[in-house]
Amino acid sequence: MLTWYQWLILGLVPPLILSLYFLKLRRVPLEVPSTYLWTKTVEDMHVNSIWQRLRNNLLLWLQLLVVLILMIACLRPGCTGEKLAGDRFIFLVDKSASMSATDTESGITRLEDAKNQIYTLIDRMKSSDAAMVISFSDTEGVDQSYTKNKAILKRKVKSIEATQQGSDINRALVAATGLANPGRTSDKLSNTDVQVADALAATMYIFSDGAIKDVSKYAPGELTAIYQPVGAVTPASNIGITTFSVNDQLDTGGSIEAFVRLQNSGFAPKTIEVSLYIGDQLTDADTVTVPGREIAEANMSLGANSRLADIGQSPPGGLSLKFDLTSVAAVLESAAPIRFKIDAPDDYLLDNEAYCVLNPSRLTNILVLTDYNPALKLASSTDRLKKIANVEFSERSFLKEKEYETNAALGVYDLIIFDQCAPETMPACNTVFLSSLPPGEDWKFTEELEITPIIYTNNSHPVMFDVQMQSVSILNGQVIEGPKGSTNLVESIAGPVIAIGPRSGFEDIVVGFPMILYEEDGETPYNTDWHKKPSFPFFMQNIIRTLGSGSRFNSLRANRPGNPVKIKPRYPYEEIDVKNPKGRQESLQQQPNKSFVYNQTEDTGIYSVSEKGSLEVDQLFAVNLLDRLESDIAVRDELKLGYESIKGNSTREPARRDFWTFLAFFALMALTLEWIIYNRRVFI
Amino acid sequence: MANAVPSKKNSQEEPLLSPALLAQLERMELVSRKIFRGRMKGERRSKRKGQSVEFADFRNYVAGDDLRFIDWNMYARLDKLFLKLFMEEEDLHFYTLIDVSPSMQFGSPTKFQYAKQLAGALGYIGLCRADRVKIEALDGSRNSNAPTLRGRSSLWQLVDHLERMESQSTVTMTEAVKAFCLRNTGKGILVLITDLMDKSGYEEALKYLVARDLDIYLIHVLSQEEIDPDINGDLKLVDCEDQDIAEVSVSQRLIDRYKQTLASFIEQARDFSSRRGIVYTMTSTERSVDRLVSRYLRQRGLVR
Repeated sequence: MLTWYQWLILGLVPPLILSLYFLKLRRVPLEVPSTYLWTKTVEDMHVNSIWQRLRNNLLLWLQLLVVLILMIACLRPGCTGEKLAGDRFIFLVDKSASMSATDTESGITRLEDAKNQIYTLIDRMKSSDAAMVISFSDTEGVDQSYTKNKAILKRKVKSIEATQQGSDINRALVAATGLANPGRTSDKLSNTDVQVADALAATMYIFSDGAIKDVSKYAPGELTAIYQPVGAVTPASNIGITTFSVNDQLDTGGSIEAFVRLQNSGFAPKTIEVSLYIGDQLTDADTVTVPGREIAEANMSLGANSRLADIGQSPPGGLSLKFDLTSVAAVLESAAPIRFKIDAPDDYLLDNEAYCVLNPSRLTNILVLTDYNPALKLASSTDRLKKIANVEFSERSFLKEKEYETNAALGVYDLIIFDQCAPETMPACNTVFLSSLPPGEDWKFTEELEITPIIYTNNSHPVMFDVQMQSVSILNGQVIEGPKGSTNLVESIAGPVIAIGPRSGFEDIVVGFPMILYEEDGETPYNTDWHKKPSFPFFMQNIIRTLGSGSRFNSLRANRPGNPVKIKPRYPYEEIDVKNPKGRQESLQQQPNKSFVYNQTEDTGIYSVSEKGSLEVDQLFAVNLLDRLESDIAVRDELKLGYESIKGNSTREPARRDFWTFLAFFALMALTLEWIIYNRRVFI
Repeated sequence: MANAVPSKKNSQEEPLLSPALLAQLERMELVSRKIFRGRMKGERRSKRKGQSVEFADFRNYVAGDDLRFIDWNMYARLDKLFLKLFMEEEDLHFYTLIDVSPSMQFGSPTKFQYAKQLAGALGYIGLCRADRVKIEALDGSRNSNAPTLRGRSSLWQLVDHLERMESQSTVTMTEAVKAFCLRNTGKGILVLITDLMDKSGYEEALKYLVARDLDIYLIHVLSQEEIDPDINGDLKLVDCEDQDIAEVSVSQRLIDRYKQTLASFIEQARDFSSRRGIVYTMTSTERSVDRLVSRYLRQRGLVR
């Protein structure tokens, strides 16, 4: 602001202009034959009168207008705006499913609200500022690298579309921090360490509802993160489906149950109607009350608006439901979609429906090549396994037959167990080798073993669930060395004795010891007491479930939107068609491992698979979001990035937004107008 | 303003009287609405009875009359002496007064040049009819060096006199006319060529002329820049004669107002002239001299 004497000087300018007009200092002399007529004319017009002189003098008025505008500009008119400090900005936009919630003030989606906020920020950027746009769901993409072109930035922001995917900010952060903190590189020739680029300080605006997995590793460096929470401050009541699955018959002893978990992100309990459809037919419906978010006692007295801090501590309320589908599944002839629906409109609609598929059972084809192994036979012929698998036993000599070669190459078998034998080429399926090695150099026996105790079992691997090997004794065996990427499942003192390794889409398990020794005299003594332990049937069951695609229900595979789905049709088709929930069809070619990979799983719903050109549906699979974080639409007021906790900028920092530049521009326009008029006085 | 300053050089390079104009003028004649007494025999009838062959009247003989004009036949019949009177053919005084104030130096061609051309053209008509032609500058001098010319052969003298004439006078029109009237007593036709831009007024000067009982023609010459000024901006107009200053901010309104003032000025002059039997003709320097003489002055009755 100006001081009093500066105002005084400025105030003197208009009178000065007026006096200059009276003095008429800038008149151009011109000789004329006689001023006789001119004087008479001027007298007639009374131009010499002061007010007459000023009348209609547009130039004077324009000059006074210019001074007036400049004086107003000196008053620094402005309004409350948002501060935009720095000269480089990164706009990180969350486009995950929960950003589709419509709990914003104006009723638009959170993503649209975030976009509007970004437009405002872009408008407030100085012309020298550069900005970058990165959008993320559970994948990330740099939509626009650093640019000063505001139009491009706005266009790129506009083009961001909401997805139905979860959110993972990790890789977006890597992209953002990578530019702010460029790495170092070593020049191999000179052996010196060179900074590849200068670190560029930047301000990162994260526009999100905070439904993001906490980030463990985050080194901001030159990056300053500002979290702009999008969405209602008061958590809206949203009932969402977080789990929907059909159980495994193996676990429940024959009955088929659909399991649903509902989540309420609001504080108040809510009563809703739920319905379950099989195909298009309503099978079951219920009215349930989902409890609200539990409030910590310390925060009980606070009003709803002040409960924001409580959100991080109190989990959303939840309710589990079970539906018995055994009778329905018994009469099922073909794959049927199951749809679970909440009949309660709320701010976030994407989690109000979940899908699942009940495929007709397909027995897993398992081939066991053994001359004599009663333990194996016993373990494979339990009632539970018979329901899911068709186990075929053959002599080892079957390896050399034509039928084996054809079936193995066509992928008829899901799993082949080789007992002390090995094929010449690996079949197109998963395999288990008992005391033999797959052909090739990948697998090796490194050391002979004699009566070794087992010291470690990798129970985290699905094949070894509930398999306790500590008490198992082994007489003879070999230490295994698997190919790259293989995992040791069981280890003795000398080294691994059971390992699993990948092979272009398939998995091979090699067991380093035989169950039964085939001696030359025809004796078949046991080499181990494993078959007497409960761990052996568990192991067999795990192998058949894991490697034999024994899961009966595709819903057990968690197909999330955006993730590729591996499809194994019932028959070895060369090409298949996949139709998405919106009806768009795509053809897929068979992969070398006899399966198909489908990538276009952006939408949640039921996808159908059929042979190319055929109308008959081979199988269905469901894609569900089912994300606790996304369904909890309460806006977090802080983000945890590494060790840093970034508080939400929900109350925006007020800052002045000056208008003096506009006024100066108007003054310039007035001055230009005055100049034009001065040069074309005749038009006055 | 460049276009407001007259180019003297260009205007003087043109011949004062072109051969084509001279040929046209030879067929013309100056007309006087009054019959005046000339000094020498001319080609027009005079009030004075003289010695021409055309009989006019008789009168009684008084002592001292020329005995040669007594009508002896009449004396034989009536026994009284009568004198025969004959019509006398006389010459005509033709005066041209040129305003030589500095304001005449404006326009393209300058008003002064235009005035000289016009004076030359009218003078030549007079010379061809053996009138007594005198072209004077209104410079207020007591002794005019203007020659009185007669006969077609005096054309070169006329042109020479005109070319030597300069516009530097600062005396008022009234004074200059007064000086002219004192010097010249002859009656005849008087053509006054002026722009009337005299701040002391032109009325007094015209009254002097009217008092001389001359046949007066007033040719009011204005330049184009006076009729339709092409100026703009904030100007300090300086009078070329008295250095008077008029400050104007030119606008369309002012220009319109100026034109109104000029029109009323012309109307005033015309009105003043016609009330006193003066024939008023306004012309612009853009109008050619031959056109002015052959059309406008013929209409006004100065020539035929």
